[in-house]
Amino acid sequence: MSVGAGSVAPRGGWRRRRAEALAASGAAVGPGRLALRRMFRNRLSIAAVAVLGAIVLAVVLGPFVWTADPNAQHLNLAVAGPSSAHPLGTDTNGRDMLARVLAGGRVSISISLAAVLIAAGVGALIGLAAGFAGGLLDAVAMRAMDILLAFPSLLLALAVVAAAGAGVVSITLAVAIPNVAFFARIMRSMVISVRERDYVLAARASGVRRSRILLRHVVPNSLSPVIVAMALVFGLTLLDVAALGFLGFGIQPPQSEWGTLLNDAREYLLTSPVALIVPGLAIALTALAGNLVGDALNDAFDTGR
Amino acid sequence: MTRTLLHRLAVLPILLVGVTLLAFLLLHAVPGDPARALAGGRYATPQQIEQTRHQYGLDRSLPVQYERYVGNAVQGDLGQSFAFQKPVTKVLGERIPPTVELVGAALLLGVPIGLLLGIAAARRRDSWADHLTTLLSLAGVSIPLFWLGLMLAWLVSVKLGWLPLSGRLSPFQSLQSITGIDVLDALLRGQWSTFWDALRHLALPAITLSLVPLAFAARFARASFIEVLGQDYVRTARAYGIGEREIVWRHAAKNALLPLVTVLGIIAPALLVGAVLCEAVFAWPGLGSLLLGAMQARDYAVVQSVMLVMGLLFVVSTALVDLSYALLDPRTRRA
Amino acid sequence: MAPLLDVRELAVDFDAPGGAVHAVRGVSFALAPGEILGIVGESGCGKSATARALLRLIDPPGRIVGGSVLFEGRDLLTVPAAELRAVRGGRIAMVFQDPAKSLNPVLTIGRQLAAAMRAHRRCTREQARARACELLADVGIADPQRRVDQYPHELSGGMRQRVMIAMALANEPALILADEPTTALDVTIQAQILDLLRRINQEQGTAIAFISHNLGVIAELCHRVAVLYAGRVVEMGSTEDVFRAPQHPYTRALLGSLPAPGAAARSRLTPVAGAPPVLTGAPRGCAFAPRCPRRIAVCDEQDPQLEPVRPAHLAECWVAQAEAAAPAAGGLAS
Repeated sequence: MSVGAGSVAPRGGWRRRRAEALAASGAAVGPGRLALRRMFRNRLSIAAVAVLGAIVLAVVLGPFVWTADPNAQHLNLAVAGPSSAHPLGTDTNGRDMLARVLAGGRVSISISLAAVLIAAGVGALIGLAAGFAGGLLDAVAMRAMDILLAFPSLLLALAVVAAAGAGVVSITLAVAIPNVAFFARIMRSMVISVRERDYVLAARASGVRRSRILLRHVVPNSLSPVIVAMALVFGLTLLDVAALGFLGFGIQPPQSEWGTLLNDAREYLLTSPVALIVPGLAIALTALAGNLVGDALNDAFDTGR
Repeated sequence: MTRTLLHRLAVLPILLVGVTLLAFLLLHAVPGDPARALAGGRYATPQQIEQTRHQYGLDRSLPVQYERYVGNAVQGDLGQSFAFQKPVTKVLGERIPPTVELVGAALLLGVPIGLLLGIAAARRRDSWADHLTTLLSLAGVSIPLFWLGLMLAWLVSVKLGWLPLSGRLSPFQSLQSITGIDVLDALLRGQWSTFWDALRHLALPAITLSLVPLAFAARFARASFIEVLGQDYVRTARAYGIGEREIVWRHAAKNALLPLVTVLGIIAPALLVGAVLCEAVFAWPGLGSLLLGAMQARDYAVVQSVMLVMGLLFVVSTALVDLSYALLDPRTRRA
Repeated sequence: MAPLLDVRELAVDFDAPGGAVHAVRGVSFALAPGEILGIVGESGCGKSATARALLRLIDPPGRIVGGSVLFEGRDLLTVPAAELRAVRGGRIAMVFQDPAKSLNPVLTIGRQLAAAMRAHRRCTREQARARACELLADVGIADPQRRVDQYPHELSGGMRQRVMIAMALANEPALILADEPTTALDVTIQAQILDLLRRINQEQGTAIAFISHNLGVIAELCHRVAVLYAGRVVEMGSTEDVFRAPQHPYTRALLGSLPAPGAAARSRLTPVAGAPPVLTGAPRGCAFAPRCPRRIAVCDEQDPQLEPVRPAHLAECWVAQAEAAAPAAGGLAS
């Protein structure tokens, strides 16, 4: 099957040959739908998705359902146990725990989500550029990513916050930056593996522009590992955000976030552990659910390539 | 194999330079006048600011400043901490040993237990050890270490009263330091009650931190032993009537644990981060709490230096990982 | 004389997602003391599984599902673990196919030989080392004092296999199970290893069960041969009888597929038509029937049994057995 005489071959012929090559190389049709079906076969993954969904729903809709003000202090009710008015009790300033956890969750989760999206986006771009360009650009970019990867994410985040202060934007960037390298590597290796495949070579031999190849072939194939990575990184990012908050470099009051809630509760370790247990549990559950969903997605997408 | 190794080692100096550069630039990333930041921020008088500016050559161009910075650092001058009113190197000297003590204890505790757990998991699939290992790995990436530490502290210290909550020594104990590691120093000086006291204070933070190497070691040992126990030479040993225990410890272990040093290098970053968190939770006066305190106080000379030290540590550990892996395998020795 | 090893109806299954694969479906054979028995068959016929099953070395997903292995007065498939360990490497020693992978890369040759020895008797380090050097010399390795402290990767393939044989001899076993010991070696080295095994058999009287897919090697070394197909022994007899007058159509086809010496250089080889059966489920009738040029109706209906068709020569084939009963009917006997 010679595509060598490309300039003379009819366009219809090229498309047919490409389709044949595509089918021969095993690129699955509709991998997304296939993956979804496989995901829901496993009970654990169903549970994980359900839990994650429930948590997200809770923090998004919560404040509309449970309208207590997270910042309203009822000093006469300080450190009260669970009651009908305050299902999770109150903290040391008499503020409703449930409202605080919901409000804090909103902040934690949205920052983490935003950070993951930013990291994925920027990282993917870098990976695409490096993988496709090759040569010096590739080498330099990957060395830079290596330097980034040598450091643990929390320390990098601390460095950014040390320089830029603790605002929502800086925190989001601080936890996003360490993960850029991760996504860049994934994207780059996808590009490298895809660009050697038959149908891409066929396309290039027919004179198709590189950018078009990028869009039609590389991006759809890279989607699955990137999505899996996003789910897994989400959990880690959430932990970093909470850690920053706990260490005092998170969102400033009056806004609260799960990590800062834990920090507040520290002083009263001796007297009221409830305020400690709930936010921490929330963090752990959300991160756990995120990780399990990521694992499930990973298994689901792994359709014997 | 050796080619990639040389490749990685060649990158080493670049990484080191990169780290120093990043640390250096940190100061300039801070909004405002770097000289003022170094001199003490809002507490600095105009004369102090000018003095600092001159002292650190901050009136010169950036490349010159960088050169000066690196030059000074190599000679052991990392600037002055205005919060402690001491040279930074002195401060570091006081705060590094406690972190070493904490990390060392965590490793001594976590690695052996983790390895044993992983080996047990590899020998019997679906055993309690197997499930526990999987659980630990999952918990490791989901449960915040600082929360775990707090929960442990509440349970053991507050509820049960078995161990102290924070610090390194009780107020009534005194100890002249030799190495800076209280547990060792107390032993060296024969002060048994101090030793016991120091140990009790070390316990909670060390146990909390030990979960990091424990989870890693367990997962590593399990994977490694499963692979090795499936090898042909293990089958040969079985075919010659050699007992399972001897097979695991004398025939499989060397092969399976070969990459252990590599794994230790890999967990170094996670360990250090964990140390920072544990020091925060248990008020342990080490490098981590120094960093946090300096950040709060805007003591930038200290922040910069701690970041530098940590950065160098990571670069070195990454290089050692690559090096050790290549050297330890007898099969590549001849290459 | 009572057989040294008496295998009866040995059966091994391998669990697979689609169901259990019956790799060994009732294999029976016996080995006399000092005899060399060849077990020959194509890949997948169950010969390795049979060999490993003798010492209960089948790992999951495989499992032994039936039969008995009588050796020195007991059934190895049912003896307690401690007793089995004493037999393994002590009375029956196994030599594996790939010496590069079957030797531990991080232990010296000496240590590995010593480990095999000390599993069966007490001896000091020095004694073990001395004995190891002796063994290395016995199997024809030059300069054993130096070699004993070397690592497997420092030896050539042929030498490694000699080391494995040395290990097999360490405890003076009554039987050596050799599972394709020459398959991974060069032809010239192959000849040396065969010579070594023959010498061991002649000088020490050690019985050998030699598993291979190489008919030439079997013909050269073995006194008797058992032909395996689809998990069953289909023919068994002295090497001379089986190779000169094969009774089972499979054996005939196998021998017919060998390049004949002196044949025209470009003449075609005659492969055995068809492919080996997939061994799941419970097939009826002779497993070779679908590929057999001589099949008759009963072949598809009933399983043939291993019966003598000539003196000391058994075949599991309805046609061969029918012909043996009525030789004058113009069959292809002898």
